Amino acid sequence: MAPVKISSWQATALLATTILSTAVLFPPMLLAQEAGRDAWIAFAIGTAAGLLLALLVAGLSSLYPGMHLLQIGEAALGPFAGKLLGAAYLFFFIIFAAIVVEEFSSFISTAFMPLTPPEFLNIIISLLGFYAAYLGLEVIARVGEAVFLSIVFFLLLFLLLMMPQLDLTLLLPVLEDGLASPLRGSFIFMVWSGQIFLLGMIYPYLARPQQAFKIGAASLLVVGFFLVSGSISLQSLFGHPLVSRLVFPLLSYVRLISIAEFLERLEALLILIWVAGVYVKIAFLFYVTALSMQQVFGLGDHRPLLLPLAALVAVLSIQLFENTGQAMLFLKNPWPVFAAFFSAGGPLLLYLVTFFKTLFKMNSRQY
Amino acid sequence: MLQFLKKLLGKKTQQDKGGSIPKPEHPFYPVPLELGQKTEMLGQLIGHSDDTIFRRLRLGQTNITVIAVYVDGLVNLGEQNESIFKPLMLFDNENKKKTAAPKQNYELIKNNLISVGEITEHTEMWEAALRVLSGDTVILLEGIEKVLTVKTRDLPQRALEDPKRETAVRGPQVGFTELMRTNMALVRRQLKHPSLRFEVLRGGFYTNTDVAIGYLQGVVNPKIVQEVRQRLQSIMRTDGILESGNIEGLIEDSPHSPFPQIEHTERPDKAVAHLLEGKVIIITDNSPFVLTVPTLFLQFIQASDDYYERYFFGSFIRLVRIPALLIALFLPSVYVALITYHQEMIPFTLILALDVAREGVPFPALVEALLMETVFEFLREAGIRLPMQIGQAVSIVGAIILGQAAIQANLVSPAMVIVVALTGISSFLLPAFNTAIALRVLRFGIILLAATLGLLGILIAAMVIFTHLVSLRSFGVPYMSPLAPLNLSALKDILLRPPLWARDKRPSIFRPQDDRRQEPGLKPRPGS
Repeated sequence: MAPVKISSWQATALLATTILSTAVLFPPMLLAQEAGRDAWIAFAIGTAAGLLLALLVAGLSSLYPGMHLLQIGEAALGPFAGKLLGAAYLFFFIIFAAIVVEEFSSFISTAFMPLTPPEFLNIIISLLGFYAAYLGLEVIARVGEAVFLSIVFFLLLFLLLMMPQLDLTLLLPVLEDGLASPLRGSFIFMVWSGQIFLLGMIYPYLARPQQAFKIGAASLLVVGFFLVSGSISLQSLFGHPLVSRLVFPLLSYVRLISIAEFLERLEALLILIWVAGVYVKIAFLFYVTALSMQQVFGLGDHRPLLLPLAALVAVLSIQLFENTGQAMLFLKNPWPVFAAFFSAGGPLLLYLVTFFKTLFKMNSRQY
Repeated sequence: MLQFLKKLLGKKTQQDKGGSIPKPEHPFYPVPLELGQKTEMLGQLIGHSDDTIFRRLRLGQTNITVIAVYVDGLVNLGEQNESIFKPLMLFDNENKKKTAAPKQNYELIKNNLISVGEITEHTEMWEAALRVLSGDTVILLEGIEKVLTVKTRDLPQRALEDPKRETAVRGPQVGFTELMRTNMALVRRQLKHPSLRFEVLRGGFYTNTDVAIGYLQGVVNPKIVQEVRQRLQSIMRTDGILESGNIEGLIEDSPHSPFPQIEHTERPDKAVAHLLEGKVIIITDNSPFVLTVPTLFLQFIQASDDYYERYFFGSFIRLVRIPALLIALFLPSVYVALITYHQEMIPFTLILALDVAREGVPFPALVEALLMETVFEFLREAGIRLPMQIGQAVSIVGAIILGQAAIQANLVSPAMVIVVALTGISSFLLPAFNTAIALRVLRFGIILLAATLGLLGILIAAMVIFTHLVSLRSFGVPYMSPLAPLNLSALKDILLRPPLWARDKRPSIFRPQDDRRQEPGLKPRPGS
């Protein structure tokens, strides 16, 4: 069998879909709560921070060609500390996947199917994720590109259809309270833009690894474009305090679209692209989790791990939160710190270790 | 020994000689020197069936014995008589009765006496035996370790007709037939180029069906040809190849998928178009359906007259087929989901109309949908199996009377009948019958999912089907390309039908050796 390789375009689409799928749903409200009218600035800052992280991850990976993040960990920190770091990442990935599953079921049951037991949704999406992850990264990437194209198409459509009703003066005054509140907001968004570190996990499978930074940057720019423009349209449609009170502002936004009194109820399309995007995200996370487990425990094949993993994630996602409100609070407060630790902290640590190691080696060579 | 020979030549032996049937990788049967041994060996290999004839004759006035072996009924008797028996028996040379060396006799017969185009020498008896069973005449001579096979086959075949399954408004109206050689000739007639190569294999333990691989040397990627050859090895180990569908089942990539991964066609022009795209065709004897590999899913929305009509129309009709495909797969389930769960998504006036129509219908939408779909499947199957004249009656009774009566009896709502009819028509819009079958089967599952999970269920089904589709491969080529993995230039060629002068490259998906289709700049410029 040929080694798994995905093209740069596929990697871009996969990463962008992974970030965008959940980012269009929760951050608009969370950031509006923190940053008010300036949420779009917070999105822009968060995206820029993500770009820095992409640079870091791409730089780190290029030092260790053919290795993903956990393999780099073992190479840089030695087997013991490397495994420990890997185990921590494994834990993080499992929690991460469980949170995404929970986000899926809470959204679907709140906005769409209130009578269906959410546990059932958790199980269904976990099984779906298992199926795609079992078929491998190439399949996930192929689904990803198709889903990415439809997400881009429909989001653009939504933005354009609402254009006539926007009132940009609602955005004024810009930076009323200075930069502090957008900065606070951007921390929340960094949870999403920081997910670009997953680039480090698929680095060995890139057909053109030298383009790693371009891939990360392109996917972040797409994400940033949609969130900044989406946040601007939300603000100029609903106005400041309202956005922060809507649970799913984008859903309310799409519900307002009406063309010729015929093209209505487009939220079905939003749900369609959203479910498709989350499906890709969960499949990708399952794949990455199984990959880390394989690395940490030194196993030969990751595929047998997937089904138990899916079961674990499904159960965990049911147990994690009592309700959507609690999930939102968690996403706002401890989760950004927790996620930042892994998405930015890990690569930074590895980069510094590598840096000092080479420095030390060069020095010792001189004497 | 003599007894045995007599029995053989009296062509009256009934029972099998107890020898085991030669295995596909049969032992080597070298042709023996003696005539008696030859006859015995050939007799055993052929099996002493009543329709095999061992004709013993003398070469002209000499006393050289020649034995002609053939199967009655498969041979063109007139031609055999004219070009084998007459020249041999009436052979008249100056030094009569003088026996020349066996070798000279053999050469004489081969070069001067038998007046048939295709004549083959064999030093191996199994091959000769198979030739006899295919309708050729084998000539046995004393004193040489070779036998001669003369092509005298006159296999029963129907005349060339227009393709039954793939009719086209415009384009050649001749279809493949059951005879492999005729099919090869039909392809060759459209592709008169030395690059067209055929390799003939044999498949099926008992049926010994001839199977030909055809490709354009220098255009096709040799790796694909090699892959086809290698996979076709397996067909030699099965006991029978009755139709190219048997081969399809043995060489496809994912046998458990509902989707066909190998396209078949009845049209020589389509086969030639595939060859020009750098694909491989597999022609099976006894089957008018020629396989083409590798196959893409989106190929199934193409028909050959897309390329013969004006390109606007070709592109338009392709764009129409895509929604048809989606409707064929999803429409009943969307209806069920909307009626059952998401009434709020239907515009107000429409839901009023639907509700009035459904008033008095005793079943939930799910039962209604399953009922109608099942009846539709009944009608379709009944229509296929019955003779043409009765089939029409069935469709009239089924479609008009049954449908009308069901609505009047309030068993189903008119809306449901419209949905099912629309679905059926959409599935007929797809040029490929085997894809339509896959969609029909999947449709039932999706209806069930829609009835339990609503639109989410349909979404889940769509995701699973799509994921399954992108995970498939056909001879190393991703099945959903050029959509996923995305290949824009090839996608343009598949979703639309570009004008011929703009198609300068072959689709890169099949990695052709030579990707130039034509010189650029063929756009017509009148008057220049």
